[in-house]
Parts: sequence; C-alpha cells; structure tokens
Amino acid sequence: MLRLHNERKNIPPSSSGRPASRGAGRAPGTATRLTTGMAPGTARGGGGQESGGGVALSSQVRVADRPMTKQGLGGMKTAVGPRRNQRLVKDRTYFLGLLRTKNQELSSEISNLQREADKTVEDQSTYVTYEKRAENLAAEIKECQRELGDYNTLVDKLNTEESINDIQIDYEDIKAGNEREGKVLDALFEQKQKKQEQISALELELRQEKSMADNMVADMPPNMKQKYIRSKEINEHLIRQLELSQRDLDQLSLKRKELDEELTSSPVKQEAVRLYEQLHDLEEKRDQLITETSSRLSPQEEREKLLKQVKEDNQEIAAMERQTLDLRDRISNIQSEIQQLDQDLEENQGAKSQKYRELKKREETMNEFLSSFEDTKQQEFDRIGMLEQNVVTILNSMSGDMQAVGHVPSTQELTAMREDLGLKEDEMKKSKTTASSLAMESQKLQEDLEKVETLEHKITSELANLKEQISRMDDDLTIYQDLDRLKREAEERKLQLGEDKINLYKRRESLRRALVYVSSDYDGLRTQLNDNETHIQLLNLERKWQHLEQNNFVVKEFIASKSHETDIRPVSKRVDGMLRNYNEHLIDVLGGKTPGM
Amino acid sequence: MFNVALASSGAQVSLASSSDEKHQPDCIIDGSPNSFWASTGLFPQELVVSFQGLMSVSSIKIDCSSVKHFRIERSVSNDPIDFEPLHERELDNANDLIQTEDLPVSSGSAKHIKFIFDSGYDHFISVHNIQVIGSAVHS
Repeated sequence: MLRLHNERKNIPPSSSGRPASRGAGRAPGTATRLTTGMAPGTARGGGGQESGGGVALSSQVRVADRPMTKQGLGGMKTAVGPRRNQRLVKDRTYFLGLLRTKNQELSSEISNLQREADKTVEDQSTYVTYEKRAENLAAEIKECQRELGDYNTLVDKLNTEESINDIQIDYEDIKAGNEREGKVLDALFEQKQKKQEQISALELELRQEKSMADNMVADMPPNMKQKYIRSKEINEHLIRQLELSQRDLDQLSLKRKELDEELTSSPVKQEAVRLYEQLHDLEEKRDQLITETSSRLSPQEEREKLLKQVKEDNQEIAAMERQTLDLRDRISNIQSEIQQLDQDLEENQGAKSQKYRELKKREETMNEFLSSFEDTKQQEFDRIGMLEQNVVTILNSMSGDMQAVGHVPSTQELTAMREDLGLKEDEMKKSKTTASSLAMESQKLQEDLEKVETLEHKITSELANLKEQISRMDDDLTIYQDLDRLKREAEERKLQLGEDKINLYKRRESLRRALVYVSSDYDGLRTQLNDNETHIQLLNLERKWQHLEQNNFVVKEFIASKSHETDIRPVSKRVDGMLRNYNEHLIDVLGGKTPGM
Repeated sequence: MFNVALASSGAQVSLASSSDEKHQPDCIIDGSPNSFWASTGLFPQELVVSFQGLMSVSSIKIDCSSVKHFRIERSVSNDPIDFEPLHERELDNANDLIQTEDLPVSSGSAKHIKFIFDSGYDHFISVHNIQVIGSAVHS
C-alpha cells in the first residue's frame, strides 16, 4: 500500500513532465481513475520504474528523444533493455576474456573441420572398396535377374499348363540348335584360320615375286634397266597424280554435297537454280534460232521454192482425185449389176415357190386329217349315242308330263299348298332342333351311364374286398374264440423261450470261459508283441507317420485356404459384372439424353 | 454205436460264434436235415458240441454248405478248453448244394468237439447236421 502510495505520489511529477499532448489527450475524468486503479502504471511499475530510475541516474534522459507511443512512457523500455547487461567498465581482463572465448570458438571450429576432413578421407578410401563391391553386387544382381527370368518363364509355362514334356522338348530343341550353331561357329573358325594361312602363303608368294622381279631387274641389260627405271618413275609419278586427283575429286564432291544441302535448305536458291536452267534453255533456243536465220535464203528464192512445192502438191491432189472418181464409177457399176441379178432371181422364183408352198400346206392338212380320222370317227359315234339317249329320256319325260297335264292343280290350290309347304318347313326346322337337342341329351346321358358303370365297378371291387376281409375276420374269430388253444400256445411259446434262455445262459457261460482263455492267449501274444523290438519300431514309425500325415493334412488345408483367399477370380468377376452394369447404365443414360439434347 | 450228438441224447451246443433267431445252433443236433445253423457273416466261425460225458468216437459226419476249409478239434476236459486237433479238411465247391463229409476217427475219446470253419465259398455258410458216431465211455 505504501509503495502504491509512493508511486501515486511519484506519478504526478512525471506526468507533469510529460508533454502536454498527453495531458490534453486524456479526459479529465481519468485523473480520478488514476488514484483508484491505474493498471498500465502499475504494470509498468514493477521493474521498469526502479531500474528506470537507475538508468535515469547514469544517463541523461532527454524527453525529446523518447519515442512517442500510444502508451507514452512504454517507449523507454525498449531504449533501456539492451543496455542493461552491458559492462560499465571495459578493462584489460574483460578483453582478455573476450579473446579467450573467441580463441576457444576458433579451436572448436578447427577441430570440427578436422573431423570433417578425416571423415571425407575415410569416405574416399571406403568409396573405392564400395565401388568394387558394388560392381560385384551388380554382377550378382545380373546373375540373379537372369535366373529370375528363367524361373518366370518356367512359372509362365506352368501357368499356361504346358506339360513338363513340352518344356523338355523345347529344351532339347534349343540344345540341339545350340550344338548346331556351335558346330557352325567351329567351321567358321576353321575357315578363318584357313584363310589366314592362305593370306600368309600369298604374302610369301608376293614377297618371292618381288624378289624375283628385283633379280630380273638386276639381271637386265643396262639400257633395258634404264628404261625400266624410267617407266617405274613415270608409274610412280602417275600414281601420285592419281592420288592427288582422287583427293581433289573427293574434296569437290564433298563441296558439292555441302552446296546441295545448302541449296535444298533455301528456297530462294532453288528458285535461282530453276531460273538458271530456264536461262540456259532459252539461250540454247536463241542459238538455234540464230543458226536458222543465218541459214535462211533470200525472199525471192524462198518464194520460188514454195511455189514449186505448191505446184507439186496440186498435181498430186489432182491425180488422187482422178483415182477416187474411177473407183466410185466402178462401185456404182457393180451395185447396179447386183441389183439386176437380184431382180432376175426374184422373177424366176416368185411364181413357182408360191405354188409349191400351197401344195405343201394342203398335203400337211391331209396327212393330219388321215392320221386323226379314226379318233374323230369314234368321238362322233359316241356323241351320237349320247344324243340318242338324251332324246329318249327327254321323250320319256315329255310323255310323263303330257299325262300329268290333267292332274295339274289350280292356282288357289297352289297357294294353299304353298302355305302348307311353309308351315311344314317350319315344323321340320323345329323337329330338327329338337332332334339335335335330343342327341346332345343322349350323349350326356351316355356319359353319365359310363360314369355310373365305373362307379358300379368300383363298388363291386370294394364289395369283394370287404367280403374277403369279412371272411378273414371270421377265420381270425375262430382262432381267437378258441382261447384255450391260444393260452396253450402262449404257454408253449413261453416254455420254448425259457428253454432258449437257459440254453443261451449256458452258452454264455461257456463263451465267457472260452473268452477268458482266448483273452489270456491274446494278452500273452500281446506282451510278446510288445516285447518285440521290430514291433515297437513299427509302432513308433506308425505314430510318426500319423503325425506326418496330420501335418500334411494341416498344411494342405492351409494351402487350400490360402489359395482360396488369394483367389481373385470371383472378385474380378464381380468387378467385371459391376463395370458392365455401370457401363450399360451410362450408355442408357447418355442414349436417353442425346435425343433430348 | 449210435449218434451221440443229438439233443435227445443229452448233447448240447455249448458255444457258437453266430446265433440267428431262425437258425439257431441247436438245429445241428436236432437230427433233422431240414433245419440248419447259419453263420451271420465273417470267418472264422466256431461251434462246440458238448456231450454229457466222455464219449469214445469212431466217426464224425457233417452236412454243410458253402464251406471251403474247416477243422475239427476235441477236448477231454470238463470245460471246453485244451482242444487238440483231430481233423482238417478242404472241401470242393458244391455250388450251394449240401456237402456231406464223413470223417473216421481212430484215436478216441472226447467230451467236447469243436468245429472251426476257416473259410467258405460264400459270405455265409450253413451246417445242417452233425453226427458223432460213438458210445459212452463207462469209467
């Protein structure tokens, strides 16, 4: 409280030292609040006020230098903070300490760097070995990859269910191929060796020839020798020249190629080439024309020459026209001749051929008539008979009618009869309907009758059954009425069963006894067996076997379950189905939409 | 000399390895050829006929069917134990007809006679009658 009071007391002087702006910025009412709370003042007060006091002592605080913040005095703190840890007196020891620390830092840094250097050296030394090892490992990896490839192919083969026989056959094939190729290689190698031998032999020969040539040159007479040497020199010179020319040619062709390339790369140059060619052509043409003009004659001579030519042509044309006229005349002559001949022919043949044709027609008709005469005759006779019969019947009917003429009724009677007829027809219809209905009824009744008959049959059979049953029951009754006999029989049966029981008891006893002996025998045998080492071994082996079988079974089961688990076929099938459904659905939806769109 | 293996003369079947209700073991000593004992499957099958007392046996006759191989053993002790072999016989296949076998016995007396059928031509065999010709030994 006292401190607070002090502070409160302190505040007024400091606030009085504040620039006027602050006092002006604050509402007058706040002054009263300062006495009660003044939170910012107290918060700042704790350390700030006291140390601030210390600072204020050592350094001159200029009010004008204070940064103006919203909190006013708060700015002081930042200005004071860094200076608080500084040493006031910087003497020799202080600098020594400073140097020492720097030294230490340097030495640590040096050691660090040293360590790093060592490490890198070590790394480098190990790097070589690592590289070597990496190479080895890479080779190993390659080997393993090759092996893996083999196994993969094997697995593929297994998956595609190729039998081992096929694989073996493949293996044999490949082996045979390899052998064949090896043989071929051997043969090639031998051939190569032979060739090399040949080459060496030829070189030897060449050398011999050279030496021979040298000998020959040496043996030559002097003028020949000179000549030979000259020729040789010339030859060498020519060879050199050839080489030079060849080189020049190569260079030129190279240059040409380069130029060609350049040409193809720029269209302007191509155009230029084309124009050059055109120019060349045109020049040639021009030269030709010039030569032509130089060889041309004077106009007079030319005219004469042309006239001569025209004359000749005209003559030729006239000759040809004459020829054509001749030919036309001849053609017309021949045509008229042909016409004459045709007319003659027609005149000669016309009358005769007509007559002949008529005669022929008549003959044909006669022949026809003769051939079909018998048939037609028969037909006519038949027709006559039929007509006669017709006549007879008509006559008969006519005579009947004549007689009946007297009995013909009058018109009144006729009408009465007609009415009668109508009535009777009605009646007849009715009777027909009744007849049909009666027929239907009779059919129905017939069916009923059949039913009744079957029923009767059933009843009779049932009756027979019942009668049989009755007789059986009667028999049974006679049996069961004789109670005494039944009792007797029961008694007998009881006795019999009792005897059987006794017998069986006896037999059981004897069986038990026998069983005791047999079981003791069995026990003896069993102990003997158990003592037998082979048996024990066998037992052990059997047990082992059983165990192994069990293991086998478990493993098989495990494999089956795993294979079932890892079997993705059903899942893939389901996924396929879902995909298909989804696709169909999409197609449906899109197909439904497109017409609308 | 007469047939001592008859129920009427006191013999009984003291052991049989099969017993069918309709064809009981007693049928083999009832003297009738129409009734028979039938096995109920599997081999071997055994029958023991016990007499009232010790009998001196001269021959044994057996009527059976489908039997292939059988043995006869005898015992002289009071209980049907300590059997010793007497005969062994392999029969021909009679194709479901009755096989009749007459076996002479040279040495002996017996209190119990055991018949062991080792194998048959069918799954089941039948024994119709057993006659043991002999007489009681009076001691």
